[in-house]
Amino acid sequence: MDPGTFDEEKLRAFMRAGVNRVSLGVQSFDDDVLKLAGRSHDAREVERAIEMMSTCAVPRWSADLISGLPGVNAGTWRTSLERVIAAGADHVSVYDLQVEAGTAFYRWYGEDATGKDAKEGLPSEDESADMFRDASATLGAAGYEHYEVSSYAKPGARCKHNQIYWQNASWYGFGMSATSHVNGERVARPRKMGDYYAYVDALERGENTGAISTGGDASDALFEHIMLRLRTSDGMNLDKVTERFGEQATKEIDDAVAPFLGEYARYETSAEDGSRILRLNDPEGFLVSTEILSTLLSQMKSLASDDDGEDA
Amino acid sequence: DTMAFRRLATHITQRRDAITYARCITSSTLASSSSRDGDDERSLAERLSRVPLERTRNFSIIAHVDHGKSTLADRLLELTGAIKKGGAHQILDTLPVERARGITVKAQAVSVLWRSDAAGGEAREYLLNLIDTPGHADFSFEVSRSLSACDGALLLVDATQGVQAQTIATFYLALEGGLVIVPVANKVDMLAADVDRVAQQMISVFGVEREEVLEVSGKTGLNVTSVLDAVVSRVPPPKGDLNAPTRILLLDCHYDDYRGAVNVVQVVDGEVRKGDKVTSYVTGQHFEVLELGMSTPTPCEVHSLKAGNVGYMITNVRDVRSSKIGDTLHAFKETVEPLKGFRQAKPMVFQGLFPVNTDDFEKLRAAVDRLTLNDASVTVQGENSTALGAGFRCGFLGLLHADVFHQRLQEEFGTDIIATAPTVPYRIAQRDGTFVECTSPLSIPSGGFPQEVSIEEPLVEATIICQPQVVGKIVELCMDRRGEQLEQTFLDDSRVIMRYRLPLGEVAADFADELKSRTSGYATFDYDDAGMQKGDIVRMDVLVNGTAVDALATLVHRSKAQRHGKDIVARLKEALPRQMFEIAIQAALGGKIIARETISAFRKQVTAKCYGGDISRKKKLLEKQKEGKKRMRRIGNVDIPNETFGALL
Repeated sequence: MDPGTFDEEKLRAFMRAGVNRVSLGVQSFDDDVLKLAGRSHDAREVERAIEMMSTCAVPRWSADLISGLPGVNAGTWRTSLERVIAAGADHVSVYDLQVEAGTAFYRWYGEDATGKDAKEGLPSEDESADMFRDASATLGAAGYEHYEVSSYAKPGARCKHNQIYWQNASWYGFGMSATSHVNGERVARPRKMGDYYAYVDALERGENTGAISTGGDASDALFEHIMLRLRTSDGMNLDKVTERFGEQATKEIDDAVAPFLGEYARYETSAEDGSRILRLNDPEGFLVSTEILSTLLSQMKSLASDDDGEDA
Repeated sequence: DTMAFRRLATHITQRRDAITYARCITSSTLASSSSRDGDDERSLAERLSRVPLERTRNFSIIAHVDHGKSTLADRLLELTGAIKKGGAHQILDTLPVERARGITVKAQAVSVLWRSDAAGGEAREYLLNLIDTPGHADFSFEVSRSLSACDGALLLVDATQGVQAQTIATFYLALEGGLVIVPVANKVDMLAADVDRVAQQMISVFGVEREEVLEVSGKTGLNVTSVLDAVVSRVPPPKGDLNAPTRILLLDCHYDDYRGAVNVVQVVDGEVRKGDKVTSYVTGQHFEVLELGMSTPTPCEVHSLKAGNVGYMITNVRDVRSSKIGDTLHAFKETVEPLKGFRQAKPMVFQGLFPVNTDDFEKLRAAVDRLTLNDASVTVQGENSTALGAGFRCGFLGLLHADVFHQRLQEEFGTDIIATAPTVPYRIAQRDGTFVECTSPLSIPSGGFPQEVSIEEPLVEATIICQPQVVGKIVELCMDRRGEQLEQTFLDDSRVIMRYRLPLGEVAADFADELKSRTSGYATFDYDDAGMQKGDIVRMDVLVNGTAVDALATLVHRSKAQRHGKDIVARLKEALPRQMFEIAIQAALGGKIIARETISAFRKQVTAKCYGGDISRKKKLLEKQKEGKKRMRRIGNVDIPNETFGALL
């Protein structure tokens, strides 16, 4: 829920309907930053929304923060972190800004931004990397567990439904743009209203819905498993990998991850059953997780696709 | 005497267009014993074999690329009944890559019969042997080889384009060989044809008379009979002697899956028969002649080849490499004077070829082996690179030749390679006067040699034809390439011919492209071997994060070292992807760093969100990155894209 878009009455109505967790799209506690980011709320509305969390006794609530926004520097970032801690959020999601092609931000701040479109003020790569590190240190010191690349939670407050994604378990999806993952098949529903209605009609008639569906084979499953598990601080249980995918797969993982051990990744032993666990370090491993993943994937023979070895 | 029917009539070759091989039946019992010429009941083999030396003509067609050689050749073949009208096109170019690039790679010979009275007296049947020549600067050695078997050449010039550099260069070769020149203006049917102008050019460059210039259209067939008649009347018969000891010139050899090693030969003196034993002058090896014939263009078997004949010879030796191009074959136990050796294939550029995946070395080796069976002008040696592993150092006649080779490796064998930057052959003069060839940058120490040891670099003589207004740009380019001007003359009011002596190292790479771009494509150029000269050649090393990458080393003239070094590091800075640490790229000369660039480390590489709907997208992204990494070679801990190793400056 975005600050400024709801009042107490609405909130209580949601809670009566059964909602027991709220995620607030705060992004920043700074007015200037919020304006530059094109948000329609301001710092005061953020405070009001947070206040409502306690007046309405929302059992659990989370706040989103975006690091690397235009206008943010080390100081304003630290302030946002301290304020979210002081507000008593049970959970914080900290997202590193990703400027993507096709968006207004790309036109303004992207690599190819030119002329009057181009804007200044985006923190440097170094600065936003430091913000990531600061979040990890500051939130960590305040008792939050950095359990996933972008997720921090007080004890017992880990986001249950998100963890399903990172365990690659199954879930249903409802509504426009929703994705479901059932029986290994991912189905993405249409994004637009009209298309969505057509989709539902086709479903009811038992016809081909035209929804985009992807589902994989064994190498795909291993790929997904590695990709998702390494996002978490719980890491990847290598004994289970051996069980599910074979010794060869585990050996390849060990070989490929070797250069990253120490600074970016480490092995742990499971307290439960002594299994071998591989995890990325917080924050340095998380910070370059995409690079580590793509290196791993390109070096593992078990993940070679059918047409590997023949360049077009 | 009646020979048994030996084989089935049809074979299908592995070439893309199936060429039907029909075995001619030879028979000595003829229905008619009349000695009247033109008796159609005689078999083709009979007719081919009975034409005497005086009525044989060995000739070639010299033409610039795209000036219509193949089309004209088709017309000639049609006229003489060798191929049907509208039959297979461009008979002479049979390799797919030849057709695609519009070039001829291998030399071939076609024998046809033509009835003519052009030599005076009544009409008689003549045996015309068209010996095809490769059409590119890279292959000039093959040109000289083919020309040595000819007594005359059609000099073909596109009437809409005029005389080009390549035509001139080959003309000089033909002149050197004492060939009679028959000037032909082609494409006269086109609107843009300016026959008089072209004829004038030919007069001034080739020294021919206006009335000698034939005006034809290979496309429409206009006046093509005059070409055949001119060959009959102006080209002299071969100079050999049927009664002298047999001497056979080995023009070429290619490998055919069904027939084995097929030698293209010219009998200069004497005669060779099926079943004869011949000996190689060069190697001393003996061959038993199993089959003889002429290409018409379909193979037509004959019992013997006599002085003046050009045809094919299949022996009991199936290994193509036993046939030395340019060799003289003579009768077993006879001693002969060898035929004048012609220019040997001299590789002009060398490259290291490595498999993209180190596991595929065997696959590459097998492919290179097979491909070189049919291309004896490629030299191959094993090479080991610290950076790229096991591979080969291959010598090619030029960059086009190398390119064609890479393409054929890909198309015919599915092998992908990493090729290192081309290097020309240098030689190191030792103190005792002997020479050591140097075909790889690593043969030269980084800082150059001590004083007493000198390096020599190959030179070429380049012929450039251009319009007067771009002369300045060309002079600038050639000066930049350490060239020495030998000549600059006006061909006519719109064409200038320039000749320059240049180091091959400055020409082999991108000279042609530079020339084209500076002259908007109108200049043409050809070059020829011009010996060696001392040069201050040094080795430029490239270090990535302190480690020298041997596959990136290049040889350069000391005067160009600074510029070259800067270019290399700049190019690498562009090409190498950022990594988790800083990458230092350095160009060094004998331990001294002469240029340097740095690629900053990326500070973060993270995907912030990975929820349900993001998973597919993230997978695609990683998949793409993975594919990208596969096209790179990891040296130390730095990823270097495969193309970077070979890219030319």
